[in-house]
Amino acid sequence: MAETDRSADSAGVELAALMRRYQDGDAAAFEELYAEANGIVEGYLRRMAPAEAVPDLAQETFLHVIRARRTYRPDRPFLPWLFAIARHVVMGSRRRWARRWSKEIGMDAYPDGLAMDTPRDPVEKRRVERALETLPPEHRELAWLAWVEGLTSKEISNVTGATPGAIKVRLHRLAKRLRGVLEPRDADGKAAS
Amino acid sequence: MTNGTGSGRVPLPPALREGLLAHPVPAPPLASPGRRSLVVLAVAAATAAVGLATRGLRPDLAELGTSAWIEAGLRTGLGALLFALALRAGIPGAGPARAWGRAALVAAPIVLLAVIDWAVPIGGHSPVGSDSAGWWSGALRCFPVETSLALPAALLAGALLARAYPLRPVFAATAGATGAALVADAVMHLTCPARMWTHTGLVHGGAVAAVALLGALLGLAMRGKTRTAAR
Repeated sequence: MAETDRSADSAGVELAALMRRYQDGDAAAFEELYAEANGIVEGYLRRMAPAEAVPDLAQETFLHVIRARRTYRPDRPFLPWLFAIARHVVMGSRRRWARRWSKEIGMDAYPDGLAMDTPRDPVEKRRVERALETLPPEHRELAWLAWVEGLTSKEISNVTGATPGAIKVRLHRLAKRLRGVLEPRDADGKAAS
Repeated sequence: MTNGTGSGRVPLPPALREGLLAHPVPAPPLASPGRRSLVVLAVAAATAAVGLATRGLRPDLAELGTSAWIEAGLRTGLGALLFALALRAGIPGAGPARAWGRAALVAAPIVLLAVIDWAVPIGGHSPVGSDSAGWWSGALRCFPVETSLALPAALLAGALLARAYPLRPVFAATAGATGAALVADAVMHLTCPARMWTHTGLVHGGAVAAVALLGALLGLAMRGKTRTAAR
């Protein structure tokens, strides 16, 4: 089974705690939440929208977070909830401004055990991000959610609305496509066995 | 409640600061979708009980046997499922996958109204009745009764969704309304003596469709509110 990305989990737990504090009445916690999560949201949005639109879309996402504040349940993971809102915002912007991508972004499934661990090392993470830039725009979203943010196929299903099975199939195809790029590498940059 | 004067590393944009002021906290999380759907189901059940008590059971119920109760139970069960799907869709990231949601919304009434009413092999319920009156004879009576039975639960589902934040409000509201309509249809199935599928399909089914359409309109209204809310 693929290892869990501890950093992504930790970030999600910290953000969930801030959201709970905000719900409990600590408005300052929202400022901390914004400070911590804005970069994550913008990173996700960059895969889905033109760079010049990302700051405005990120701000609109957090406005929606404020309005939807009562719908976050502390017993649920925070990041899928946040990404679902961000996705809603960017899809709305697409409908308003352009119809570049006509299809839902869907990814092929890949078995949970496939060795596509979410990279923990910042250098490795950057290598993955550069590899994702080679993908067509409609594939970047799921690849980002799976291999940079570390969401499970079920969580990605919650964000995108596609079925977990469809997501697994598409991620599997992408994994095959990016295998040469995303294989773990040793200190010399050679593919690790 | 604090006033938000903490020192964040990234200053909050003015638009977000205005948003914080416009939407105060504390804001306790909503009850789980499961619990909220049970509330809707309870209202639907109470309305159904009133309907059964006021209309009385159909005189041929003994002849129909258990099949009539099974069909009513299936309608109620599917209605409850749609309540659950609708209320889950009120939570960002918690709704059903689009394919599953569409399948439930489209398949449930089709299966019940077209297949069960028309070709059910259970018990002795003949799909083609021997009513001498035309299908329109009870239309003016059954259509408003069934829609009236469905409205309380449909409107409650819509109200609960409006308090949540459905990212697919049209689907969510339509699912909630259709669920209410199916429970009301179960009542009609147990109280209306008509057997002709032209009556049960067109009149009763028409009532289900009308309530579902009402739900869709509620959803459209919610979508407009959601879009403009963040400006």
